[in-house]
Order: sequence, then C-alpha cells, then structure tokens
Amino acid sequence: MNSYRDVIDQYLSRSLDGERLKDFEAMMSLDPNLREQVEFEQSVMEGISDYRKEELKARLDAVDVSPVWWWGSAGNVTKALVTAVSVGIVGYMGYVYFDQEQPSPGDGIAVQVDYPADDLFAGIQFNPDLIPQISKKVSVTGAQKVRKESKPMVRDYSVRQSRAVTTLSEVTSIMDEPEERTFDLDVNVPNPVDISDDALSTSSLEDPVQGEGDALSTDRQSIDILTVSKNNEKLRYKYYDGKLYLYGDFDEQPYELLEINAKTERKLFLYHKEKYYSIRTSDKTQDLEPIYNTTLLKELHLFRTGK
Amino acid sequence: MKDSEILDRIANGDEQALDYLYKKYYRMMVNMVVKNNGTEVEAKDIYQEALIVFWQKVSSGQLVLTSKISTYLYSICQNQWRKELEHRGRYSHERVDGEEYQSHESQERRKIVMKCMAELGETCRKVLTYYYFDGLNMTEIAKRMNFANTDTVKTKKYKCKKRLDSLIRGRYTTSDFFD
Repeated sequence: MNSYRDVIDQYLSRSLDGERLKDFEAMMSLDPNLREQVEFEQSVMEGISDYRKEELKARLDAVDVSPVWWWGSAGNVTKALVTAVSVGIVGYMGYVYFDQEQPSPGDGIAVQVDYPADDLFAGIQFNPDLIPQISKKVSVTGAQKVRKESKPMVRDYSVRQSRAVTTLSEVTSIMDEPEERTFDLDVNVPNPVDISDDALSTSSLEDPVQGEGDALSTDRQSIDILTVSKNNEKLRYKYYDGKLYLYGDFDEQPYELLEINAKTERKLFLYHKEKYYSIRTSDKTQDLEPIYNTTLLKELHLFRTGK
Repeated sequence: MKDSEILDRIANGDEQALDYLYKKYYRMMVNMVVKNNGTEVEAKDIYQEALIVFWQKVSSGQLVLTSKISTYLYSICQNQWRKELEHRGRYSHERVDGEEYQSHESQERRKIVMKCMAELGETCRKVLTYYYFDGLNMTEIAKRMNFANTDTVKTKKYKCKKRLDSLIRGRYTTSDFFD
C-alpha cells in the first residue's frame, strides 16, 4: 500500500502521465478501495493546502494597510530635523520680507552746488546799532530795519533739485513787538567782529561804504551736498571740507540751505519744515539742532524771504 | 523593493516579501473589486487568494513572469472576481442541489484535516506544507529545513503523513469522514 501511496501522490499531483496514468485509472475503476483511498488522500492534500492558506491569510490580515502618514511613523530625530528645517525656512523668508535695505551713503543723491557768481554783494552788513546787542545781554525793544542795496537772493533747493544757492547780503531785522526780555545770544549767530571786513568795522552810524577791497570773493569752493534719506530717523549731518552730508527722514519735504559768507568764513543754516537749523563744521555726525533764538530766527527768516 | 528581489525572496520562503506586496498593492486591488459591485471585505478576500496563488506558483517554480508583479496580481484578482460574480449570478437564479451539497461536504472534510494538522508538530507541518502546498521537491525541502539529504526528507515526510492520517482516521470513522 505504501507504493500505492506514492503513486496516489503522483496521480493527485498530476505527475503521472502516459501509460502509467492509464493503468492507474484502470485500476481505480476496478478497485473501489483504491478509489476510496485516492479520495481520502485528495481530501488530506486539500486540507493541508487549506491549513497553509489560512496561515498565510492570518498573516496578511495582521498587515497594516492604512494610508501612511509619514509624520506619525517618523522617528523623533526625523521630526526634530523636519521641524528645524521648517522653522529655518520660515525664519529666512521673514527676514527677507521684513528686512529693508538701508541705502548706503554712496547711494544718496549728490547735489553739487556751484557757488555763484559775480553779482554778489560785499559781505554782511549789520546795523551798527545792533552790534552791541549781539555781543552782550541786552533788552530788545523796538524794531529796526536795515536795508541794503542788494536784495537777498536765496534759492530753494531740495534733494530733487540742483540749483545754485546764493547768500543773502541784506540783513533785515524786524522786531515786531517790543518786548522786554533778556536772553543769551546763541553762539551760532555770526559775530560781525570776527568778520574781517572794513565796512563792518567802522564805528560810524552811517552805512558803511563798500570799498574796493570789500567785494566778497567769489572764488569759493562749492559745497557738495549728499542727502541720505532714512525713514523715521532724526535729522543729522556732517559738514567738513566743503562737503555736507545730511541724514534722516526729510519726509519728502524740500529743505533750504542758507549760506552766509564773509571774507574768511562761511556759515551754514538749514531750513526745513518751518524750522531753522545751524550747521557747524565737523567731521563727526551730529544732530541737526533747531534754532530757538527768536532774534536769529527772525534774521534768518529775513535772509531767506527777503521780507 | 524591486520585482526581481521580491521573486527571489518568495522563492526562498521569505513571508515578509508577501507582506510587502500585500500592503503595496492593497488599495489598487480593492478599488478594482469595489468598483465592480464588491465590498472591501470581498475585495480583501479576493486579493489574499490571488496573493496566495502567486506565492504557490513562485515557490514551486512554475511561474514565468513576463509582466510586472502588479499587473499579474491585478489580472488574477480580475479573473477571481469575475468568477465570483458569475457564480453568484448562476446560483441566484439556478440552484443546483448536487453541487451545493458536495461543496459543503468537501468543506467539512477539509475542516477535519485542518484540525488534525494543528495537532502535528511544527516540523511535520512545515514538511507537509512545503510538499503539498508550496510544491517543493525533496532537495528544496532539505535545503530549507537543513536536513542532511533528500532521503531524510522522504522519511520525514512519510512519517508525518502517516501521523496525520492516523489522527484523521483515529478521530473519525471512515463513514464519518465520507458521509
């Protein structure tokens, strides 16, 4: 029977062929016991296959087939790396977006001012009566007006324009209302004593007569002006060697540069948004300090407007 | 994992390769069945059957794959599902008692054999399944189970089969088994 077992196995596995297959099938048709044995073995084989199939199916049932969300399955290191990279990217984008490139001084608009010309008058002429008042504490009363022969010439310029600015030769001081007060003069007021001018040095109450040597030299170095606009920043400046650097938020409003020239000295004042500022020679950046001295303000106003 | 690697692993009995395939193409196969009047449960059964057929053919060396594994599995699933739909259609309108009766009896026999298989030792289960399910020859079984030679495998297989037969016949009478 054991030999039949092997033949049955071969028959059931369909490895019997040719003559052997015909013979075996003939035997089965003649032997019911053989036939029964073959059916039994077939059931066992199918049962073994079913057993193995169930094993594999049970294994496949345990496999997780849900969609993979990589974040959930990612390790802590992976999560930390991804988080760091994401933060880095967001931070860089924010830096690029919010960073506003500040223009360098070299980017500013240079306005060259050519010092004018020939039609200048000779220096500053002050009302002799005012001279003592300027140099010491005084009580200011009344108003005086001094007119000069030549009219003041002040030209406006701003960062957008490039025009020559001339100086004012006429000093007109108007004191509208008499007022009793004492004040210390601002040192920015040009001291006529320091001005070497024959016309000014006269003690005569008469208007000084312009002499031949009194003509203001027009041979002056031009002032190079460089304005660097910086939003929301205080007005600052630096002025030396004929170069004026202006920094700050000019609020897109024009400014005027008032240049008071004497033979040996040049004084600069800046007018911007109804304020006057004094400019001192220095290679260090300084704040533009507004002038509060009313006398000087009025004088400068007269310089500027000619009224 | 490439197809060639998967085939090599299955040929060596690596069941993890089967897990990989199952997960990889699960959605594709299920969608096919669901779109053709099937449920996901039915789709899962069809796909698992297809994978097991694939496993058997690769293990026995009978498969010569000329397409991608996914294509082959997809075609098996399609054929299986088509047969299932035809079977349902036939049985919904024509009840053939004889066939229905026989399949039930056959299922009962198989259950008996499965129970007895569970009572065998692991070595016997492996030898018998390698031979009758995976279709491995004696040499391949000897290599996979680290037996000394093919004679050892033959002897082991004979003894394990005899043991299984004893369990089956000892638990059930012939009349129970065939009735």
